[in-house]
Amino acid sequence: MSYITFEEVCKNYGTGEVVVHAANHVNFSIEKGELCVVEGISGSGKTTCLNLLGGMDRVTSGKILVGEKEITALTDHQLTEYRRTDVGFVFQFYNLMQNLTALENVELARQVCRNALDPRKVLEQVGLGERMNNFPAQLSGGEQQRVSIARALCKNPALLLCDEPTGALDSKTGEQVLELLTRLCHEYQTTVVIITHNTAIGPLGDKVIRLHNGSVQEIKINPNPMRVEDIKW
Amino acid sequence: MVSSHSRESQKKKFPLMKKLLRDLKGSSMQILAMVLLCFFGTFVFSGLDGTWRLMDLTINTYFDTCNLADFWVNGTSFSRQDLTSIKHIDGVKEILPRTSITVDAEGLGENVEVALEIYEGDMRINKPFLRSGSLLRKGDLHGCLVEEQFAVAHHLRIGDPITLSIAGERLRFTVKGLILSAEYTVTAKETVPDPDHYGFILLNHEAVPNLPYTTVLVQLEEGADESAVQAAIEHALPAALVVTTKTHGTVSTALGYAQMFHGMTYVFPVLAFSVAAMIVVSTIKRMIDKQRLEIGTLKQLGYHNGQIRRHYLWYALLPSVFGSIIGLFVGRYTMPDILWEMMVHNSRYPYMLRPPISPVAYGMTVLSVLLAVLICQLTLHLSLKEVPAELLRPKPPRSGTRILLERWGSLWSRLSFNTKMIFRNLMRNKGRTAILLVGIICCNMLIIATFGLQDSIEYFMRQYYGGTLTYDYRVDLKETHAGKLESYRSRLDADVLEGIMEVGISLHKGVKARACLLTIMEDQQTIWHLTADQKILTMPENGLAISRKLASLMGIEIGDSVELYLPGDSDPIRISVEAYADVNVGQGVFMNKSTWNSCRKGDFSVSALLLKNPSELTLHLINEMEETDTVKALENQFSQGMTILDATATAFSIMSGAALALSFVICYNMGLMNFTERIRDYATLKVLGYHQREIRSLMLRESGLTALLGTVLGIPPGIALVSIILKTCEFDSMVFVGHVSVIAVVISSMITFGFAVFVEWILTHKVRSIDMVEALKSVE
Repeated sequence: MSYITFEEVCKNYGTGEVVVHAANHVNFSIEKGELCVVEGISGSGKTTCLNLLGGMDRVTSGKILVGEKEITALTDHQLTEYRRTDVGFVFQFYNLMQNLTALENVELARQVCRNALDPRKVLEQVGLGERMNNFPAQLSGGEQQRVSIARALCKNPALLLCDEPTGALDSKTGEQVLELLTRLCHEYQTTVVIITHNTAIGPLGDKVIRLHNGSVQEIKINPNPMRVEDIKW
Repeated sequence: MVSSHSRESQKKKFPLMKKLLRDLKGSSMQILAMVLLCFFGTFVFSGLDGTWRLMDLTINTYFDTCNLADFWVNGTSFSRQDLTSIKHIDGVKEILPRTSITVDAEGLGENVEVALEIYEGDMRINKPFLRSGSLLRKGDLHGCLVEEQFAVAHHLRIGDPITLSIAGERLRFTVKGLILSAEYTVTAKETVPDPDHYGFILLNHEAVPNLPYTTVLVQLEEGADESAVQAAIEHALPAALVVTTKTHGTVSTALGYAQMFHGMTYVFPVLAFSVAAMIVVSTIKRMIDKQRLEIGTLKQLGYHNGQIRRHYLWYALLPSVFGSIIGLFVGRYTMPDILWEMMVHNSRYPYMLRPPISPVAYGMTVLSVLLAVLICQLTLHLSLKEVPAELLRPKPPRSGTRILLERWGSLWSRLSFNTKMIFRNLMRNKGRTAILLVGIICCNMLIIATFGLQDSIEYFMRQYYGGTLTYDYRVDLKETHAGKLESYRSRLDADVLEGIMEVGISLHKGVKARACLLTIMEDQQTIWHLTADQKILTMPENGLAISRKLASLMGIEIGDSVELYLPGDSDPIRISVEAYADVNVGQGVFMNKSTWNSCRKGDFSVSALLLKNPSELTLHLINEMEETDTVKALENQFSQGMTILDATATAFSIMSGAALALSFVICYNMGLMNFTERIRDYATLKVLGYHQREIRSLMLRESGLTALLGTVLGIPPGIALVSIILKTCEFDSMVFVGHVSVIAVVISSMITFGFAVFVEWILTHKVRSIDMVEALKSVE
């Protein structure tokens, strides 16, 4: 059985006459330790799927299974526990606490997590050993994104969800971030889901899911994913 | 052509109007907060302003209608010549002699006394206010006017007979009218009216022609120099006691109340307004800041700054006009009536006159609207200065900085992670933290002031009754029958029994004069504790002790020589002041028996007995004694004293209620602002897997810290405020001592702190409603 399974997942926004089907009978699965890229143009429903997978939103109908858990059936409290222990989130705009230093932002995640890693080590791992006492405003976009990744990694999650992690970065820093993500996936067997509108990133993934208008348009399996330095933006 | 153009421009305005209404609806909590704050500011001002004006108008109108005297010249017996000499003093417009005596009203029951005011001729001065029946005609030998409450208590109606024993003669009178008197708005022998046992009756002098005049009522010419006339009367009749509206018991109390509320009108609203203004600033600033993108868009679309200004003007204008006007009217039509009722519950006034809303109150209302509009325009001005491109970019979030505390490395590193975060958050938005602090400080101040005032009143009453005066019972004796002290000592059984002699005198120092009480005590007395630390004052030999406040009012210092005029005696006692006495209630002068004897002004005749721990039998005996006038237990005197300041206490309860309401608005408003600003942070915490409970506890601890700090910082100014208020309210006869007990401080602080945390606790429920997806949507 796959690690992640979406079964007939629907998510509707709005009621009455204007209903938007953000996810419309989505079905796919992702294996453990896979790097999965979800592609799609703006409005294709990729962020919706990621939010549902991350336990930040609830489905209208359908089922999502992660490991043994049917997360669509969890209570709010259980869902929080799920986010706390199983999921790491990386956002396009980092969502760092502006009044906490890089290190403190990472510690924020450790606070609530049982099997957390040492925040300093994680920051060193993402190449920020020198800058951990800086505030977000004192860091570049790429560095902030790496703090955000470190914050997600610190929780030692089984599942790392990245929403346009390179969206706000230039190609060079974007490459560094992707490099980091692929390395994590392969070295630690973390399941990584990256959503992006940038089709250049697709070839990195073990699996590429293309969404369109809230439905799965295509699922492609890459037996030999490309390396980051080989992709062209 | 013209009309189609104007229709065109009408259409243009339409979407902005829609935007305005939707914006207002969208930030309804903040709009409501502004309405409430403007309401609060004007409510307090308009209420207090209305209160003192109502009191002032009612009291003065009543006094004017009754043609209240300016002076009561008291003596034992005024001759025709005395009257003429007063009448011819410059500045005296009119005089009216009368006789005041207290007699038993036979046939109305046991222990019923009436104060008789027997007028010579027309009752032109201190005219009674007729409630029913008719006034006395000149030469009416058998008619009398009865005070209404007393009449009601004794079921006296117009035409009923009443028998009085005057100077040993039983005389029958007929009730002609029921009246009120401006002179005696409180008809009480002690502080609290007791119409079952005490009242007053007015008679014509012809009915009892042989009685001497004991009082001359004097009315002054318009614009006459009061103190000059007083000095002239005292010069002409040195033995007379001149009582003015400032020293007359009931009259000065009534006028003092109006004065007190007048003073309060300018203390509280200043506080209320400044706090309200601060909150309005931050609220409007936030509303405008939130509209940055919109302002940028409008500018980019080509709207003129003026048009944008006009649009946003409504944001301040609508809530402030609405709140202020409601505050003006609600304040004006509720608070004065309530406070008046409280003030007069022991007094009798024939009516209550509501003055129209004063120009000052209207002025404050306009001011509060102007203030809101001004703040709005200033904030807008800053935004409008920026170019559209700048405005269309969102304001970067405030970056974090190291706070001062972090320099203290050893302490900082010991703090828990959450605590560090809380500290940084507090310092991140210093302005808001400061406003919240000020709000909580003010709240605690007002609540402490309310409790502290009650405390202080109780404290200084207790200091006097129990501290200065240490008897258990005071027995006033009827002048005529009082026996020798030694005979009482042999008859009555008590731990301590001492006698005092009290004489109303006129105290002169140079040209200054004042009616006051001379208390003559036994040489080795133990009952009066007149020093500041309430020990027995060693009375000076051949000298006088003077109460501190009276000394400062008259500019008397130790070593000064003063003159004491006894009633009916034009030869004063010349004596030097040798000591200060510390008395809180009732000011006067004191001497001991041997000093009195050396003055050669007659024997020491006991006017009151002071008893400590008397036996049951003794109490019974005292009540049976013929010469006993009244028996007062110290405890009763204490509790009666407390009721005097009921109205003030009520005023403060209203204030602290308002303070709580205000702090609710402040805490809620500030908390809400904080919440919306940090919703992204909270959403991130939620995504990271923080439970609601954990986020809420973080929020609570953060605001709890502010609340704690504000509460603590509010304590010293709260205690100071008590003293300020007491200074504003002080009467001439009393020394108010600010004394706030620890319990009052603790209770007030607990209320304030608990309240602030409670409000935040309500807010923390909003964490549940944070939609992570919505809150973390990319800034696009």
